[in-house]
Amino acid sequence: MKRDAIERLAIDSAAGELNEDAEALFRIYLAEHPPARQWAEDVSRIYERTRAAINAKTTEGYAGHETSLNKRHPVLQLKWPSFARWAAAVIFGTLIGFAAGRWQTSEKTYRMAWPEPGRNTEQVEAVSDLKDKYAGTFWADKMLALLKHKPGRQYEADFQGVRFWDRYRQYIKEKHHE
Amino acid sequence: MIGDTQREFQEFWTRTAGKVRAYMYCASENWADADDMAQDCYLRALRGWGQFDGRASRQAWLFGIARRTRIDWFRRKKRESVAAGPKNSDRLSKVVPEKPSTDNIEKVWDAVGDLSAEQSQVVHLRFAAGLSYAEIAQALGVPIGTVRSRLHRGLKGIKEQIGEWDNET
Repeated sequence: MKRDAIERLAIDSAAGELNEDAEALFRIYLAEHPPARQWAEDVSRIYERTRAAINAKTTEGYAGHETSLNKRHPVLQLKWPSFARWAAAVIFGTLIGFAAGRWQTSEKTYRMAWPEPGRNTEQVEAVSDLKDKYAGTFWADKMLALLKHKPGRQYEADFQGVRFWDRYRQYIKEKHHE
Repeated sequence: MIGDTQREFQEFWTRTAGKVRAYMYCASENWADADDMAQDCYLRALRGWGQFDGRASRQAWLFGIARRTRIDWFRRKKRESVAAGPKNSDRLSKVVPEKPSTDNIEKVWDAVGDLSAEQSQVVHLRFAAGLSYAEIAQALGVPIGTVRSRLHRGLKGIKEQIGEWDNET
């Protein structure tokens, strides 16, 4: 083989670009041809020197790319552990808030009174409040007159003890105001 | 979907950034400039991330972008130095020592710098970026045989240069 061919094969061999069969044949050939082996060794040595020199000059590129490029390009830097911590804190806070809200709601529900069938609780409370507030006044009588037209147990209860004369006087007053 | 792309790009960047940076340094011989070029290269890669057709490996595709970025960067620098006047233009001229360096590493480094642009591209992609012949071929858009020839001629040129310097000293 010519020198050029030997050198090319030697470079391919040093670069790991020869397959196993070609590598084995090349080794056999070099063992049988000392001048070819010399050419191959020369170019292999240059290959290794070049590789060592470029590696020595550019090693910093590999060692420093984490720090230098990250500093220069914060857009590419993702702090996932920090993000995960924040996300965990937000989720934990949400769960605590949800649990507290549920507890308060259930307590409130427990304290609510169930309405009795056939009786309007809110109306009873409102009427009793008004009775206390306007007891003995014109408006107390007025209220009783209004309730007179509403059938039910509450009406009956509120009119217990009211005489006929009082009812008549209420009627006269209302007539007068009309 | 965006999260997947972001994670994929992040992993790709972690795997290749050292190589790109080293490749850029071979041209600029300055880490700050190498970082600028690497940034530009990754921005271009990010823009074209979805347009990758899968015909070459991702790494080869990236170094194709890196090569073009390097060329554009030097053109821009050259324009800037011309605009700035003759004082700064010296910064871009190739630094060739009048006397050969006594250090083996510097000798080889200078010899690589004296190679033609095509040969030094292949040498840088092979030794600084650690690409295979096939990846270099894809990055440069040439056949593998051409890569093999350029590497061979490049190493021969380095050998001759070092031999000359050894004889002088």
